[in-house]
Amino acid sequence: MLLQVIVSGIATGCIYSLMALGLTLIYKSTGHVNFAQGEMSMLSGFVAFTMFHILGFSVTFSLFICLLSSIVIGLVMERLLVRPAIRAPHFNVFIITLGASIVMQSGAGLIWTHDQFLFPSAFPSETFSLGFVRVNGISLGIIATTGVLMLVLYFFFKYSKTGTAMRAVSESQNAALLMGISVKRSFALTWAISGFISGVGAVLIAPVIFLSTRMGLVVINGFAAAILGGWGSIPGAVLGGIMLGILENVAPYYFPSQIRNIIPFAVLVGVLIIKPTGIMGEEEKRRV
Amino acid sequence: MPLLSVAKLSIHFGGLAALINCSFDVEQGKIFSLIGPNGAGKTTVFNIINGIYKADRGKILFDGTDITHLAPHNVARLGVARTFQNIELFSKMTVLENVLVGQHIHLCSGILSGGLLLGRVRAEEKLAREEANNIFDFLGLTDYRSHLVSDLPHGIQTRVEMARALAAKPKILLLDEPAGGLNPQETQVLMQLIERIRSDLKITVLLVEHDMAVVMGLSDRICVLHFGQKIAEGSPGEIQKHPRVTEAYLGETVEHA
Repeated sequence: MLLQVIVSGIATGCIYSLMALGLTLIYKSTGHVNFAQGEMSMLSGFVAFTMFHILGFSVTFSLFICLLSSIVIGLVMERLLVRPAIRAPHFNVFIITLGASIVMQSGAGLIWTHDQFLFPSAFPSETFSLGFVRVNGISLGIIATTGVLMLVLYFFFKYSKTGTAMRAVSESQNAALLMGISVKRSFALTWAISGFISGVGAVLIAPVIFLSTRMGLVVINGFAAAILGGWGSIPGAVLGGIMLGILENVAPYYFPSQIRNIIPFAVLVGVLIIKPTGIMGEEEKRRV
Repeated sequence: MPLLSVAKLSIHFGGLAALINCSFDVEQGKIFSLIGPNGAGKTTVFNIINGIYKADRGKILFDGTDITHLAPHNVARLGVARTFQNIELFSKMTVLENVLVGQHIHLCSGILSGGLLLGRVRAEEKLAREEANNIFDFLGLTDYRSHLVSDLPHGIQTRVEMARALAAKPKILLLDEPAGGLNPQETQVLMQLIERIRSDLKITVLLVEHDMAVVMGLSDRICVLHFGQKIAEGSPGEIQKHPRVTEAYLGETVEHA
């Protein structure tokens, strides 16, 4: 039974990891903090909802369009809101994205109302037996999808020419420019990838917590995950998300269920007291 | 026609005139040095050529193209590579990865195929790695190829930065104080390398350097800047005898050189 709770905790954690990953990628390559990461997810979820519920397209096609739209949303955010402020302090950009998240949330409310909607899962909801554990198909799907996405991203950044160039930009924009790398293009690509991750997040999360304009609030857990794992660390974002997910699901197993939201954040504070940079975070070294 | 032609370049930073009407031509296949006391505007010239700074007035022609108003990454694509005064490597990457980034402009695989590692990309990557190995042989870096740059000593990092610049197969290489912080033996090796970059790789070199032994030993032509103005240009012999140069800068160094 505990094992099963852990597995569903990993599934929840995968969603936090995706949020944290989207945040971390943008932070690492551009230095910006994107508060609207969750709303990007929410919007692409509503795009899919419109496709299958209002326009009557098939679910598969709608989910495909949802992923496509998430990339477009990322690119539009970058081009419209972030690039004009490219020379502004990072804090200004944070406030811009915070504003954008409020506009997106209220705007979506105007169009689709603030109700909760059922969202079909891309995965079967029956349970499978895996050795000792009986696992829900949806949880399994979430874990598998997240795992595959992380692997693809890992290989992309580690070995592809574009990924290596993007890492170069995140280390030194000036040096990258002089290697013939377009920093603007690299930024746009980062937002596109982050947008895509938010779209995958929408497809995975909306069936579990229902589609609503408040869905984007999951970004708070994404921030917590990224900070727990070590702000700016990609493996840290993944690890932090999964840890939070497990804690959140295991805590009610031993304690009263209202504790669900307290334990993860208590652990977060505890970890940061012992290791202020987070689990995998590195101390910032400054050249003296 | 010179490979690089800088004409009447001027730039101000606030009230400070960092360059005033500076002109010089760099011929194909030569080693051309810019010298002058600290703050003379040498690195500023580099930054304008690279497109990092925009000149107030003046024009830069490179290989027949007006690059005065080009963005840095487009200047790089035309064949201008550079190293920095304070090494600017990607220090969290390996030596090999740094060189692969240097090759960026010559690798043409797109985002999607790059992500999927298709056949054509594989072939391209293989070629890229072979070329990287040639550069490592050339610069004596083969043993360090999988090291993280941040773990390497300064002297090696200097060479890694040259390797990254050479990986772009440039027509001209801008070296900003390559001998800075090197010991005498390392400086000797560096001089041989720069000479071989010109003779073996046929790359024109534009050099900014404070070490007069390096400048006098390598240069075909030298241009002297003083407070943003060109005060002399000529062969090493001419520069050493030039009265305004000795007065402004070289002074006692000439006797020792």
